[in-house]
Amino acid sequence: MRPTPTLFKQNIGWHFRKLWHIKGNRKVLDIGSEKILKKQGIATEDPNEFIKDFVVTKPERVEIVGIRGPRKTTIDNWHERPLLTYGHANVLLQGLTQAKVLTNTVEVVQGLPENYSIEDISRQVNKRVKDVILASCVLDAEQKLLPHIKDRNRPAYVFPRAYGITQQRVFKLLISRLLHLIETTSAPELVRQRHLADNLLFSYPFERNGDLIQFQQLGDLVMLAEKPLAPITRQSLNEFQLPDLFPVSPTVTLQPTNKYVLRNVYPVNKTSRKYHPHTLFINYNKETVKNLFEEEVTQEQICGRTLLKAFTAAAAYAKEQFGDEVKDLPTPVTLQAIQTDGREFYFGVLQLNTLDLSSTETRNIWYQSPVLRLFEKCAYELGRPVLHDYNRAVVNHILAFYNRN
Amino acid sequence: MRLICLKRSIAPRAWLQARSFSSPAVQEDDEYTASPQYPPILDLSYKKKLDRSFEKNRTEIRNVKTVEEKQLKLNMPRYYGFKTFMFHEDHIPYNCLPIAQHITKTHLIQDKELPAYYQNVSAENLETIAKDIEEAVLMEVEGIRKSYELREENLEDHDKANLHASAIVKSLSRILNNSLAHQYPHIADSQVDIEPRLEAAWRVGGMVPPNEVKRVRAGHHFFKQFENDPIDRVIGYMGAPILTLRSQLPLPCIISASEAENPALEVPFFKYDPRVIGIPVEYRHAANIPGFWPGDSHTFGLISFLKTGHLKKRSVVYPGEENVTEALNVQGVLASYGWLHSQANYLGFTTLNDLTYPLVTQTVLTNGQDFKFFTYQLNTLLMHGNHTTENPKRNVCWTTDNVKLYAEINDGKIVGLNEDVLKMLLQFYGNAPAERLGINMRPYLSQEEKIIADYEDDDKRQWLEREYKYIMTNRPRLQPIDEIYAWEKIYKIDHKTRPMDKRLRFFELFKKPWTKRLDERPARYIPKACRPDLPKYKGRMAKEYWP
Repeated sequence: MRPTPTLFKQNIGWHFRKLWHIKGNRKVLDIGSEKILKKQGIATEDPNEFIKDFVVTKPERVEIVGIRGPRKTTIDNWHERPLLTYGHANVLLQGLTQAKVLTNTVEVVQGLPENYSIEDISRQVNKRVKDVILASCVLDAEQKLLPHIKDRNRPAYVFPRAYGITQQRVFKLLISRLLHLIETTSAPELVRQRHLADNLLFSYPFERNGDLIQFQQLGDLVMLAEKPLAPITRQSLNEFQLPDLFPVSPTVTLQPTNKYVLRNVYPVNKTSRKYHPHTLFINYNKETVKNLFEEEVTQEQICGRTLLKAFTAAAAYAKEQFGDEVKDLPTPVTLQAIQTDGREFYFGVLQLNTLDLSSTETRNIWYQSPVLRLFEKCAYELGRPVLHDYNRAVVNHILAFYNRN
Repeated sequence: MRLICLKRSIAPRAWLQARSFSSPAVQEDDEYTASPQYPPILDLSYKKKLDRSFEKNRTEIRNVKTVEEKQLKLNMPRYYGFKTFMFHEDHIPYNCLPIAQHITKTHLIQDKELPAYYQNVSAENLETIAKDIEEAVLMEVEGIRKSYELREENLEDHDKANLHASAIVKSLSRILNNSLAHQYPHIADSQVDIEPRLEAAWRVGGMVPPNEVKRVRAGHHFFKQFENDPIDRVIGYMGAPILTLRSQLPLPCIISASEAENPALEVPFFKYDPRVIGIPVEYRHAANIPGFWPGDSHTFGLISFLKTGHLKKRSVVYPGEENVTEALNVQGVLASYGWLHSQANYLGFTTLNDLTYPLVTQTVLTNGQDFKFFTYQLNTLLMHGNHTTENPKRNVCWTTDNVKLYAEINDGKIVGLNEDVLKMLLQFYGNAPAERLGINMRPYLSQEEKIIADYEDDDKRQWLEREYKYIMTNRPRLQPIDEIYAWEKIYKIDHKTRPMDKRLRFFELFKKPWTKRLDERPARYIPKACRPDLPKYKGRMAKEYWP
């Protein structure tokens, strides 16, 4: 509440004014003490005589040397050479096209690889998937302050603030429950080969055409496996060319910084049995993942984000696995990535053939499915939880990705 | 003016009399009986009158049709929320066990093993699962570098401990679920919640009145006799388990309902105000939330895993093994009771209307290495007013010692894996829920409409859903409660220096803003444009559906 309405409710200014009035005209009263003292024969003197000679001396100024040390002019981890970074919340201006140029990747065919068998889930599982979607997107009892609602046609209109399930939580619940469902209905031998880990940090620094670049990415949920994924294709890629971005530079919207630590991070220890990356589950939260300027993030940019995340994890793994100096990988590294905001799913598969990003002979290969919607609407409608237009193809895809060896 | 009043007072009666002429004649047999039938003679003493009004309130709440409406009705007396004594999962003051037992009416049994009931629950495949768990723990402890370490985030010790415990519990639960799903249908069908929101609120009596209540009572010639009578307090619990498992059927009882009335199951009586041990007070609406909204089919809890990172902070102030054990017991008892209480609320029982059958849950407290197991049987929810002493039923909690899953990790290998802990975990997972035959699970809910989504009326459903969610958020009110400002206390109340002021403030009009009821607020205004068929003065306010 505003505290000001209660200020000056009780007007006591009058008392102050009266006080100044009284104190301002103060006079030294003659109370007759001089007369009494004289009568008793005690000498008196005028106090003004003493005050007259009173001189105020200024304090002596002493120069103090050496209390403050020399000013610190260095910043930790400061380098002369700027580093171009791509973080967890960035997107590229040209989206997938730019990501392909940056990572020397080509798309051989449209859609997912042909040898991905996408099978239909059973009827029972399908029913439970619907329960899981409702339980994660509507029936969870979290009530946190949601982001401001904005209407493009009425930008100044202030909507009441809504409370509900945050997007991060929807992602966490939906993915973990779908995986729980898939794992409990899959063969135990297969499930035993997998491990799930939250919030893994991947980092991959490299040089490209004289620019120093580092991708640092967070895998929101990472599936690790006992064996690496088999390569998808060995076909020759000579005929494929990288897209031309002219007049835009391939490094546009990568953020330059001088304060950095260059390091290659693959966060799983080599001694672990489940060492190899299998699938990345990436959260797309439109409140945090933004363009540098105000434009809305496009689908093309989201696809680019999936590719860069997959590339970072795969490249960091390849460097850790095959050594720092490796260029063309002895065996290609394959990694799957699924990006979602809880409703729209982007599936992608990366086959990393080389870490030499200027090579024209070998290139990396990217496959991706068109965007799939899990449902059109899942919310309370007139006081009832509803799920409209549920699409089972999404779970079929996740199952296919899970079963891939 | 007086004449008009008179006319008004006469008119309805005349109309009623006129109506009575046209009503069918009553048969004489109904009017007279052989022996005179008098209305019951009521005890008109203050206490009895109070009891009767309380009973009326209880009956009203019991007769409300749906779960959500019952919760709204419970909150009806206070627009600005009840004065609630808040127990948080991660804030356990010193010497808290007696009050935790008193407010939950729990008899605590600490033993080395789980209760005898679990001897019938098998723990198969222990060796295979042990191998998997060993590997998962190694992976979490040594195999994966944490992102907060790599990013050099400044996390507190207890936050790190919680993250560590949470990672291990998720891995353990995943392995157990996947290994047992093919064996037990209840695991395959279970619902997993990660960090669900857990809230509960209930009424507890038996504690001495606070000084301000005593002062008011002492100053009144009639209420002087009740000066030291205990008063009820609203207790709130808030928690966030790492992970919970829910099923569609309830767990079987550990002991029968009659055994739960055994006076040998002692419960300590804590008669002091909870503030004496450092329990904070907040004004909150009573919210009972077991992690999901009504309408989810998995309403019964199986297992919940709790984190114990807060002990890192607590052990600095209160060191020693005894203090740790006590804190863990308090946490286990309160979390188990809180979860079961909110589940019971979704079945139509409230803090005023008791359970008709027991409910059971299992709780595990862990930091990733130490494990403590709790089994809790909820037999009663009644602990307000006289029920504190008169209700013979009590809730029972069995707990094990705090045991280590493994001794240490040496050279990338786990040393001293404790198979007893794994066995207990397996027994918790293997404890199959079953249908309670011959028992109406929701006796106080309507047959047709158990939740508001069952109502046919669109407007009513929408209105109730909005109001229910609004109350359960416990968000601050747009207009805060009236207060006496310091200048008013000085110049208007203590010293009457402003006799000429308009008397508009609540304390000058003898109003108590804190007694405002939930429905004492204007309904939503419907703009004129939205009601073109009605005259301007009609249909201004939206219809309301208060239970």
